Amino acid sequence: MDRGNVYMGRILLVDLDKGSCEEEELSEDLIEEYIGGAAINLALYERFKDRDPVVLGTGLLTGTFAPAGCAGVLTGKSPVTDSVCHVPLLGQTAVELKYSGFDFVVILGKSEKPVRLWLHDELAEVAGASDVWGKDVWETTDKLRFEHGDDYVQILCIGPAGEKGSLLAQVSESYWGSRDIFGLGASLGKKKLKAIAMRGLGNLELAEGFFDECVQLKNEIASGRIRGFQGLVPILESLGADPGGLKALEARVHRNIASFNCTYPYNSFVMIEEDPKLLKESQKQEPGLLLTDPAGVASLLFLKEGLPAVLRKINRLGLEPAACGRILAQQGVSNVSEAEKSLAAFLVEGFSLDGQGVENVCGVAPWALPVHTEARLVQASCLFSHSLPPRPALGSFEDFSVSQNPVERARWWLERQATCLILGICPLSALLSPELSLEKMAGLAAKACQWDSLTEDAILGKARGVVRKTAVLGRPKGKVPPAWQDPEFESFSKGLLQGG
Amino acid sequence: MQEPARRLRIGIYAGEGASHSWTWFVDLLERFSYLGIRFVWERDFDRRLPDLDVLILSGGDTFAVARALEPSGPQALRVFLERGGLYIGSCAGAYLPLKSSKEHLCSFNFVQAKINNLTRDLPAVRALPLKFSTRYGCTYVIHPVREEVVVRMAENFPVWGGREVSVPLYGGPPLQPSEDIEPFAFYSGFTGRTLFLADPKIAERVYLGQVAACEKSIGAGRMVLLGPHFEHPGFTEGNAIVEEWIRWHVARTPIRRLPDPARQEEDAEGCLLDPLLLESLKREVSNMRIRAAALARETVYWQIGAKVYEPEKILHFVEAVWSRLARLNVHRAKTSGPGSGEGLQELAASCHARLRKLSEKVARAEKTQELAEALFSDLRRFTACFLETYFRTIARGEIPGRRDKATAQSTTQRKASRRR
Amino acid sequence: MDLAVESLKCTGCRICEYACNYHHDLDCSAIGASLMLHRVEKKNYFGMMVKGERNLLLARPEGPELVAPGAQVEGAGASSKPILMRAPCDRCEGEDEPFCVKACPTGCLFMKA
Repeated sequence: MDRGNVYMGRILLVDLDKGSCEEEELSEDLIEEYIGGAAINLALYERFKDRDPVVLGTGLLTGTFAPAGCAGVLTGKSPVTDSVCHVPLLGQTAVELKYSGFDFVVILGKSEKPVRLWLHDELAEVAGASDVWGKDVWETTDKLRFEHGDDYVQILCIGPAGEKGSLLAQVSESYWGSRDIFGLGASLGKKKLKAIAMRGLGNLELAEGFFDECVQLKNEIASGRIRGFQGLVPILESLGADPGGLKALEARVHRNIASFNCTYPYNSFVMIEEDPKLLKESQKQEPGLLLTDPAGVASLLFLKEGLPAVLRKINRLGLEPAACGRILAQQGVSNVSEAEKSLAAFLVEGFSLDGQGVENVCGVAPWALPVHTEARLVQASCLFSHSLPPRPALGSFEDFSVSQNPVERARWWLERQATCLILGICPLSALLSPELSLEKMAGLAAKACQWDSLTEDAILGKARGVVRKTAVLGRPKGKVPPAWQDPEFESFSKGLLQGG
Repeated sequence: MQEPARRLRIGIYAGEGASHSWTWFVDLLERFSYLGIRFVWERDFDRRLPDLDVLILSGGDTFAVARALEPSGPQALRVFLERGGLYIGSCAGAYLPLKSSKEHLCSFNFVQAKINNLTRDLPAVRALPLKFSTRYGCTYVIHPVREEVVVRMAENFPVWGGREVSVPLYGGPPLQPSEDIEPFAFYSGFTGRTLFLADPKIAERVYLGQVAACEKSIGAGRMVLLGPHFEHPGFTEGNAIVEEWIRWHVARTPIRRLPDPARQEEDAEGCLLDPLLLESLKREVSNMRIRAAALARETVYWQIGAKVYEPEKILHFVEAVWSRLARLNVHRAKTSGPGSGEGLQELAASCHARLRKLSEKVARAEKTQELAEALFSDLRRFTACFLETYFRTIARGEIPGRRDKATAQSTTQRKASRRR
Repeated sequence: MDLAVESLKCTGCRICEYACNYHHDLDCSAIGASLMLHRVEKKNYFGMMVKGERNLLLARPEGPELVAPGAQVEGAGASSKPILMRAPCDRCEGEDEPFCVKACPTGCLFMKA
């Protein structure tokens, strides 16, 4: 069995200047050298860096039986920080990307006119997007799913925010936003790439014995730290969110949804205009929304009962919720109609947190809940999205056997993000379940494709490489909040560049 | 140099009354490297038969087939047989040539054997009442079992003689022994996977010891009637028996009817697919495939003729095309030769347009009966036309290497070996 | 024993589809699975559909429904055959436990007498 069996074997190069696509083989050599996910993304980013690339990638275990094997990663230069960043793709998005026949997609250059990409069954088409340009995220998702005749088509798209070049623009995964806090929505908007639709009925071959090992780990996870919990509320509660805000939210929770093969369902659907206890299909077309973004929700908790309706608007516009929350809080917004008025003003080119005099870390919204030094360190690095908690949730660093030293903790978080985004394991699940250890993940990765030399050390080495390389590609411009200036900062940043 | 058997021109009926099990014969024949596959319709039945060595008629609606082939089909079939042709009929295809006084069927009457599943009084049904019986004049044809049954091959059947094999039965006939037929398989038992629609004692009476498969010589040719679907992809032994029967026929057929080497050149003319055409066909079929797979999650059904069609059936036809299309390397296909497949593009586009309309109407809970009928007719046509082009292309040995990662075994074979 | 679904435990992760397909085809894919997730995403209405030999189980959140394909169509033919694309659930004959039950993270799928 070769390494390639867990991949489809294709890299797609989308040249938006020409409006055409070209395929390359995902070679055994590339996999041997980089394994997958963020590491290959970075290699592709560097190869094409003169063409302002945005890279979508899948991990080694994405779409397999590996518990939490749902993750993909978006890599690009953030227009907010002016440095390279990695954003996890969760839900069903990256799984569909892989099964559509493409392990990696590199978006190069920009188009004169609005375009969209349709990836299906190993075929790629660049088509005009005049029918969806100007539509919000929900309308776009609906239209493209209708166009292709399947609600399982996964969409990555931008809303009016991205089209207008607002630095608060977020790439959205179908209806529900994403982990993009770095304004990659504006990058796609600048490229006039409105949407990427993906669907594929492909298949992967896996080594014998892999399935059973995955089941075993899944059982350990299910009976481990997460046992007895579900949904977003317990996560936020464990991170110190305001109980009043959480209570209002919990009252509206309908049912919880898991990303592909995730043991913990961390997405919570809240009903807005519908009874949360309803089990039958609602007669209303859009009765609520799925909360997928811990940072966004945390930052909007001050709205209490108004949170879901405001967040729905934010999602539809393709705005980044955590940043919006900061501004709306500062403006003293207290209800939906005030929020809607404010949000409309965010839809202009170059609109940023910095320009609003709102606390930010290098232009990006900081985590809204109480944090310690290590959480500030990782946020300041702007390497991986901190829309996921910048520390373990439900449990503590101790559960993960991480030292008390904040620098060590920050390193651990960064390396864990990188590891997950190389292997295609959900980094949020990895912050909830200590059972999802590096040892176990490495074991599964090696088993999946009978790659005996893929050890913990080998993977950790690649993960450290991703952290260092991404840091070396450019420091984020902008400043950290004055209150954050700690002696550790400088030495930590230097340490990242040395990757030790 | 190919064996004579593999140069056979095999016609598969895909016209009016055929359901979808003819695609199982396509899979079987391809697996055994019989690549001279053509498709026959009711409107070109008479014209095509003289050029065929084998005619296959699988499952479907026997009455509809009989009606569609009249008035000249029965006579064309007789001439075909007398000149040394081999007819293989499974399920509906086995009922068709049996003696009957009923309208349309009475034009056939090639075989005098009687079916053993006819009754005046319907017994109590235990499961699937709608699949249990069909009216036949003032009597009923009943089907006390479905799914897996055991048949015993006659001692003198080549290679498989005396062995028991499992094959699936979906309404095909048990025949009473008769001097008019040479029986080669008898229903001998049931398994844990047999589905009883009535009292097992009734099933035993109707099937056990009766003829499951037989042949009859007609002129220089022969008819092979198969009650169960020996061609079902999940039953590799049944498939091997079909292949053995074809070889056996060739071995026994007078030399003057073997394929003429000169005809091989004519066959080699074939047609290849233009790479641009291939690319656009792939796009169309992939889009259809995605839409059809989504439609399979809807609980909507259509009655077409005497059969029930589910949305999954749409995907079945699309997959028969897709699984082969995916193998054709777009970038290395040569430019088109004579008779290349431009018509395929139109057929694909028309199928896709109808499928799109259908899925949109289903989403709005509107009536789709007529649209479904037209779609299935289109799909049969498109699938058969594609397959014919495909087989002409690969018979020339010019299919470039596969782009996908599939192993040497086909998916169907893996499925079959997994299930058995 | 038959496959049963405790619908409210389902979190829509879809791994059961891949596990089922793996049992049938030894491939990691969803196209040939005997079960499918029906989902209306914007309404958060979802439930498993299990294709059985004789009927289709719709494990609706509000309560299960059994549909006999074609039963509502009058005069449906006696010789309708099952489609090969999705084999009906065979309860993973030959395995110690059905693959979907093994893979399900919430225990929403289980065997019931």
